[in-house]
Amino acid sequence: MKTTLRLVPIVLALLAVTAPVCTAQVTDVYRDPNMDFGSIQTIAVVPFANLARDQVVADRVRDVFINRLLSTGAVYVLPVGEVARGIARLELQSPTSPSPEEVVKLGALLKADAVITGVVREYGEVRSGTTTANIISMSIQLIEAGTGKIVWSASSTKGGISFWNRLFGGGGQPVNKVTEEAVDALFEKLLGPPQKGR
Amino acid sequence: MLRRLHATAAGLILLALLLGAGPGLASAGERPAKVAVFPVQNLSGGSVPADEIRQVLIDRLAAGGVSVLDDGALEAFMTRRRVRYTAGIDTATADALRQETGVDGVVIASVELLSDLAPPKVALTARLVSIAAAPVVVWADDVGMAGDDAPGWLALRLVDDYQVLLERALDRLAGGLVTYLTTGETGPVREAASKFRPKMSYRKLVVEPGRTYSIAIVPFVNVSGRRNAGEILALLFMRQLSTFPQFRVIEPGVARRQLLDARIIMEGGLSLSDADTVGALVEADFVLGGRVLRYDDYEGAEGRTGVEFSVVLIERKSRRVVWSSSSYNDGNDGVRFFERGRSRTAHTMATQMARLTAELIAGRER
Repeated sequence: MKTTLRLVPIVLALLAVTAPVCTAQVTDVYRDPNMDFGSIQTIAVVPFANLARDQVVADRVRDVFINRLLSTGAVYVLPVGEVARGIARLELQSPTSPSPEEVVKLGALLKADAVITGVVREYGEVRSGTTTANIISMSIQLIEAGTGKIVWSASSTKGGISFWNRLFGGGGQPVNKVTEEAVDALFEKLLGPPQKGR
Repeated sequence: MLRRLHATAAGLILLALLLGAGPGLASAGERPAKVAVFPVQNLSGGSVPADEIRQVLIDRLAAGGVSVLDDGALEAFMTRRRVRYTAGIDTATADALRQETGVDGVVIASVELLSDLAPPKVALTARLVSIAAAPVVVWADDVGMAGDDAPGWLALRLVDDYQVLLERALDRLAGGLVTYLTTGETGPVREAASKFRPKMSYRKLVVEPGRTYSIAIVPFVNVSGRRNAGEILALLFMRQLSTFPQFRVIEPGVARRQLLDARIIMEGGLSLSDADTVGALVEADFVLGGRVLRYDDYEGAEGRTGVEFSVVLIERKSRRVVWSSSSYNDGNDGVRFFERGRSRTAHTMATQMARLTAELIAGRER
């Protein structure tokens, strides 16, 4: 019994070390307390800003994000081509970071209740010594189309080199899997636990 | 008596299931009697022996007893009508071809990959378009092969000569086409491995049993580094969707003509208004498009293949997205021992990924 009790702190310490590996870290969450999120039925997701090296990254993360959002069944997401058409018609100079006025115009044109913008800050492989692993770091903003006001915002980071990677090596999870988990973690904050696609 | 009734009912259900599960392309009335073989479309990004491939197809069709329009007549028609685009056929060209030459079918083959560096790799797609009425795809098949797909014991079955591989690929395509044209039968549907399922999907589509829906497929937006990947994916979806009895795939050449006439340029992807315009012009119930993010092949013995794309299906009636999915796979996915199950061409992966996406669109769950 005594031995078991002595093991408890060790197990807890191990759990504390490995916990960040198992779940995505969602930080900097802002939620407008006055916003009725149930009123949002249709969402337009504008192209994500890309701060990573690979140019396709923003498109990849946006596609994953849209499909995950659609598969929750909570809202309807406009097709990317429709959003591109709206951006072209309004001649938005910076579609990745529209101003509140531009969001209002875009929302009216596309008949969207909200617009989502995003930034992919880091994506791909990170290296530390001989160990490599995939990482994604992104942030999302939900902007109400009627007012151009940010009503929800969060950042998510997933992957990276863990304690176990350093100890035993290995390349971590595939980058697409890491992306899905980071997006899921964001939705968990926004909508509750994810309802995976059919 | 009751047992016999049960047996009869079970037999009828089994028959219905078998009929439903088959490729079920066109009815016998749509099976062309005389065909024209169009010049081969090159989507490989390199040089390919397009004339040789076309000639092999013509020879195999003729040997199989299929009536083929001779080269002179086809060339004269194309010159007279100033037909420059031969990777598809639009309604006006189809009408003229039928009236002037008497053919009621067009064979269009595309070369997606042809690498002669040992071990060689070949990927081809072919379709038969019935032009008896509005052009419609009535048969389609594809083949992707690598010389080291099945090296066997001590690599005795390794294929080093790309001509041998190309011949095998053409044999399979031409054999299937001749069988369809002579008997109306399509080959067995090649099952796709479950690892190629879309990784996430959304479906809000009602497919009524017994009803046929027409689908127009527009080229995918290509953001990958591979040239022509958008056209390749559109062709693979055309090929896979055309095997479902509930879908009638409109010839891609018809959709292309309408896109050109309506001056639609889909830079960012398929929009609702584009889908509405194209759908109305070609009388399609659904319009399918998407984006290709990755389509990687390699030459030689070592390398990595990878395919990544997203698909969107828009219903014309409701002007809403009824299907959306993301698919991605790596050539080494699910490979554990002795490289068993490794995909050596992007084509072998992409066609299975398209197959499973099409199955889910059709409402066929595994």
